[in-house]
Amino acid sequence: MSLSAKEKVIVKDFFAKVSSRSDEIGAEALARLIVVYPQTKSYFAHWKDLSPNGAPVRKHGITVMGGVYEAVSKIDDLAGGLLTLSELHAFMLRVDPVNFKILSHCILVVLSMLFAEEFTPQIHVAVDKFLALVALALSEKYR
Amino acid sequence: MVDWTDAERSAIVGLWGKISVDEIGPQALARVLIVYPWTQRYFGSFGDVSTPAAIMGNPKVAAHGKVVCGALDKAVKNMGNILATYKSLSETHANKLFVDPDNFRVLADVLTIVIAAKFGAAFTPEIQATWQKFIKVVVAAMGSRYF
Repeated sequence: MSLSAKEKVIVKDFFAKVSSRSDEIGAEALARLIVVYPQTKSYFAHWKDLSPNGAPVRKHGITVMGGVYEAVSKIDDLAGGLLTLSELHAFMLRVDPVNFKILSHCILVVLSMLFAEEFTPQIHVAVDKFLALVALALSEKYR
Repeated sequence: MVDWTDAERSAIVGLWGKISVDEIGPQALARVLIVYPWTQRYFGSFGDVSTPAAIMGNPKVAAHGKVVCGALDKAVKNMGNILATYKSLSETHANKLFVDPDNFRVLADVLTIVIAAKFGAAFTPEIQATWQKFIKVVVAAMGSRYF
């Protein structure tokens, strides 16, 4: 499964269009991750405040969304472009890769919620594929 | 057996009360067929599903979307016993329709996204959590008679 040239354009255009709200998207997606999938809180046990609207969650959502935008800019070579991030997740954070799928779902829900008109089925499939490929690239260094 | 708090029950009943199956059903099924094109394998008799536009305009897809989502009403009305409620539907999908049960999970994910589009910010993380708990039980019930 790979992105066609047309799908890459769809993904880049859509993320450019929503970039002014990227912080909001990230914060919302991470809030939903920990509320809808409470087991993911295990990765943030060192935070004092694990409330979905609290500062640590929002800040980290923004960080994660920054990573997604970095992936958009490296869309032509995700495995190569996300090598450092993959090493981070594999060796330092040791996030179980199943969580990439879960976070992708949360991002799709938030995009649908905030951009109901724009998030058409055609854009949905391209973004879903893109996020799946990002997850794969992040898993690259795991073993 | 699944436990529901009063808050969870009223959240699901409240959410479902604001949903029109005629509106959401066709959207959800069309989106499944577009986002996961291999699901089209089950709909050979539906006519033209060759492009997203064809899928979204296909009356058989729309009609079937209403049927599939309409069946969720049973779950909302029998939250205390979803497993038993879906026993025969599960058997039909397993033994007569030969539907891969992973498709129930796929439809559930897409339904969540369609509902998010409809409700916007009103689809709070807490309501999403309750909805996903509910739909997860439905998905499990639909898969329960596959052996």
